[in-house]
Amino acid sequence: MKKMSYRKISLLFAINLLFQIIGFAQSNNTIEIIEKLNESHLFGEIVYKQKPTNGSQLLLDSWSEGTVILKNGFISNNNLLNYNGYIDQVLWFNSSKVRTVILEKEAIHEFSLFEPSTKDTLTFRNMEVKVPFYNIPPSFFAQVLYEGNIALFAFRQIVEAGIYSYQQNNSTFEIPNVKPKNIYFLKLPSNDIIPIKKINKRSIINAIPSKKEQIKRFVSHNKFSIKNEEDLIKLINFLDID
Amino acid sequence: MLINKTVITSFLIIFLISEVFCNAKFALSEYVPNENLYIHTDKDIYFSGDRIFFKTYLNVDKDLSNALISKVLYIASYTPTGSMIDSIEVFSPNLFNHGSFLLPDTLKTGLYRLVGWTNNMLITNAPLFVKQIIVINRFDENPMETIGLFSQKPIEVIVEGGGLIHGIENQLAVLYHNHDLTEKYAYVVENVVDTIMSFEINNLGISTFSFTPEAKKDYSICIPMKDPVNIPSKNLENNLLLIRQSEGDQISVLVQTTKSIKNVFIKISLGNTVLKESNVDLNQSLNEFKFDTDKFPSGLLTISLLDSSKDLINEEFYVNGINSQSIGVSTDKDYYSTREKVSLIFNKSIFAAGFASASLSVTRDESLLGNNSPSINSYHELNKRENLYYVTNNTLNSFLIKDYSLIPSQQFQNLQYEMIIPENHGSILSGKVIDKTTKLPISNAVVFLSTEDTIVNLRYSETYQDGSFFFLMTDYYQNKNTYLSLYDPLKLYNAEIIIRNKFNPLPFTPNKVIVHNNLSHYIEDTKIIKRVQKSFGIDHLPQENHNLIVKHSIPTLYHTPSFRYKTLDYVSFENLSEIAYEIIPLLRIRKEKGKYTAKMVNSSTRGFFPQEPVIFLNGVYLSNINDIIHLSSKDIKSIDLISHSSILGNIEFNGILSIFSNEPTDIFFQKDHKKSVYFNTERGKVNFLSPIYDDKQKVDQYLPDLRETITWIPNLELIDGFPSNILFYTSDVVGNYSIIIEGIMINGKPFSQRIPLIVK
Repeated sequence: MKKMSYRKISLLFAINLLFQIIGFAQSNNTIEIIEKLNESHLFGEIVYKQKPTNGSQLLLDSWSEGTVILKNGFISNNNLLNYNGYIDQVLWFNSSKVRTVILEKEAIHEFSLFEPSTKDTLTFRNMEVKVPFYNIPPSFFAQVLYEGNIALFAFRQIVEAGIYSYQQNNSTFEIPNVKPKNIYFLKLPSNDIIPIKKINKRSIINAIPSKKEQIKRFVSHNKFSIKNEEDLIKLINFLDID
Repeated sequence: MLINKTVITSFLIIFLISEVFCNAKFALSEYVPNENLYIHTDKDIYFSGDRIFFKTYLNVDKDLSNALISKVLYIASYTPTGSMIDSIEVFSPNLFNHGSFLLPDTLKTGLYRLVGWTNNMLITNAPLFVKQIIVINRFDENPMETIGLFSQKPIEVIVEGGGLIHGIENQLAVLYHNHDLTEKYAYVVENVVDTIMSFEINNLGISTFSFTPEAKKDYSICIPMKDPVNIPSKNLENNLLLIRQSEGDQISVLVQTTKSIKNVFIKISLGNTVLKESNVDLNQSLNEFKFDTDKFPSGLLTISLLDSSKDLINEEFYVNGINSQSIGVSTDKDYYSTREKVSLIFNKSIFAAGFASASLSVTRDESLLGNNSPSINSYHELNKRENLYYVTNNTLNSFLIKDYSLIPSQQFQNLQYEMIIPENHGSILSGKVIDKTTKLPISNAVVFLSTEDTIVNLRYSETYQDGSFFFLMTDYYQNKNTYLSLYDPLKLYNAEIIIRNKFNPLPFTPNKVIVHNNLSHYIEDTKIIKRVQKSFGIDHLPQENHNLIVKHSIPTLYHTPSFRYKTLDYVSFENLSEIAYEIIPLLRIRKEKGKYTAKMVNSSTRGFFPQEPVIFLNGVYLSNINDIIHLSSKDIKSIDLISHSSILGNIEFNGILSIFSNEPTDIFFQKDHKKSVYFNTERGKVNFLSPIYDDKQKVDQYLPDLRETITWIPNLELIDGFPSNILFYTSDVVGNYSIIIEGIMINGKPFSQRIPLIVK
């Protein structure tokens, strides 16, 4: 008699569990459909090979999870992305088709990448501005380093620097050496684009002479010289708030 | 002991799993909250060709701030047989919205039903909004005869609130006009056979009773009819009882007498409970007695007239709802002349909270129905009873076999539940891909969505296990024909796209309507007015603006093609095959076994792609080049080529061939594997036109102003939460009007006030 009741209880539990699972599956399915509705599909050219270079063309060492905001307002999340500074293009790795894709630049407003080493999110914007004194294409991706009334951007170019020769199968091959080159520029509230040729006090004062006093005050008050990107961001932040 | 341990362990595991599942369900409830909808219309009685103006109130008195509420509302008008007259899909980013739709000029006189819902309401099985309206065809010789059919049945059933609700006690009244009862009892029968209760019918053929219907059961009212007996006339001794719809907050009871009865009792009861019994003297031929409505509970009241020996003389019903409440609105004058300014005064001190949104209608009394048109308050009272749905009588004239059937009909019966998804962000176009022969769903099929444009636009959805697919429609598709096509139709040659019909048939049996005593005169007057308006071309019907400015989010497939050819830059060629051969070196179109095939050179590898390119005509995907092979240079504006492998999401393309034509190209899109849908959620956005007579010249203008709805303001201007400076001008039509203000307060509570306006 006792045995029977345990069996009954087990059976009831099993039925209950079955209903729960069905309910869960339906709920889950509905939520999945709803969440997928907002997704946008990325479009681009499939690349099977890239121009060989000595040195990495890529911003990050590996694919990184990121978001792409398209110019038409659609957002595509959870994509494996990287930035190729040599061709100034966003690369997308389609894991289900195992394809590397160059996303269509004209369609992209902004993309962001997760930098695993610093755990920072790097945001790049498709800029259509002319940077004085630099031969930069009319449309390029620039990293947003600071954005307030004043904005600070960095164009993370990978440029050729000489030729690298190597032997293979008794033949000599020549490929370009490549190295990173950053071009920093400011976007002022007046929409003027001001390049910063070097990261030092003099260059910044030359770029924005109207802020000379504030720059001097900031440097003397904090007792440090402007040597790197981080210092530059701190200074621009100060100038923007001041 | 071992068994005990096993049971306890199992129990714990199941408990933990249940917790996880419950959390998942909670997440779903955020997506699918229980919603309600109320629709305020400018009036209840329309003429064919009129425009119905409406204001929608979503989630009245509901705090759904943490949930994703519906952004799309559906409103449709139905005939009693369930045929749809018109339907409108409204994009509603807020809880309040307004719009209109036009009644066809050819609509027959009759009783129709306005139904409103959201997808969430369908999913949660919430009551849909329903409202009966009367439409009169102006060429109908005797419309009252048709309307009268709804109030002169041998058996009339009046249900509190207009329809039965299962799961709660409902109050009903039955009126039996054929005086051939055998016994004084009638019966409620469940599922045709089981008598569940009986109720007494008085000697006037009238009864009130209450019962609690259960879901998904059929109920009938059976009245035994053997040896007919005579029931005295309702106008016994020439005493007439007339219940007038409340004026302000009072029920007005009129008793007319021409005979010697000088003293009667007026009894007001709810079911078997006597609420009030007054002994009144009849001093005049017509005597009026007023009772405050707030002294009585809401529900179906029976007002009985008894003689001095307490014998029943007459009986009428009154539905005491909270149709009207004072929100401190009054007019600046008691009477108005034609083309005169009317200002509404608001007494702010009455409000506990300000308004969130309010709508105002000023229309002829005769164009409003009685208790069948509940206000936002009384409608809301009924809808507070959550997880219920209405049941209403469905079988036309079933009382011919002495039964009056009451079966559920207020929910769509044939909905494919799995295809309804909450519309939290916008309108969803959904459907299924099935096998034409077996009718079985096809999963993982790719459905393309594109629309005719000067740019190639493409979105796709892969079908789920049940064959269903979904597209969130953006404003880009407004006022456009969108096309659904199956990608790779060769593999899916026997597949078919079925688009979910958002508007299903919804048959109903009209409930009794209580019309204004002067309705027949109103109809005759309005017929003349309509004729005059047509003659002068001044029917005050605003036109819809089809050139809406919408923010485009274009799902552009590509921006810059690899190559673009403008055919007019070259000599003219006869067909697409010739054009490709002569001017597009990367494209080869060949005829094999009577059919053309296209191949494109991959500019990266310099070899042909293994498969045909995807083809677009004027932005729309085409599955077969043979459909457009005859297009000549004159027909074509430009040809784009994407001559490298590309990918959209998970769909790979072996080249893209996109042709932009000068000619209308609809015909090419109507082939197999394609379905077109016209998308417009901005329809009916028109303003009600009412003239402003702010100077004498305008007042004296010769054109007649025959508005019977003086004004309709769907969104009253609010300053600090209170309406301000509401004014409008009367028309040339004299008569009694009602000013109806409905809305929601900041605290979410609904309000409604109806005040009279007399134009002399």
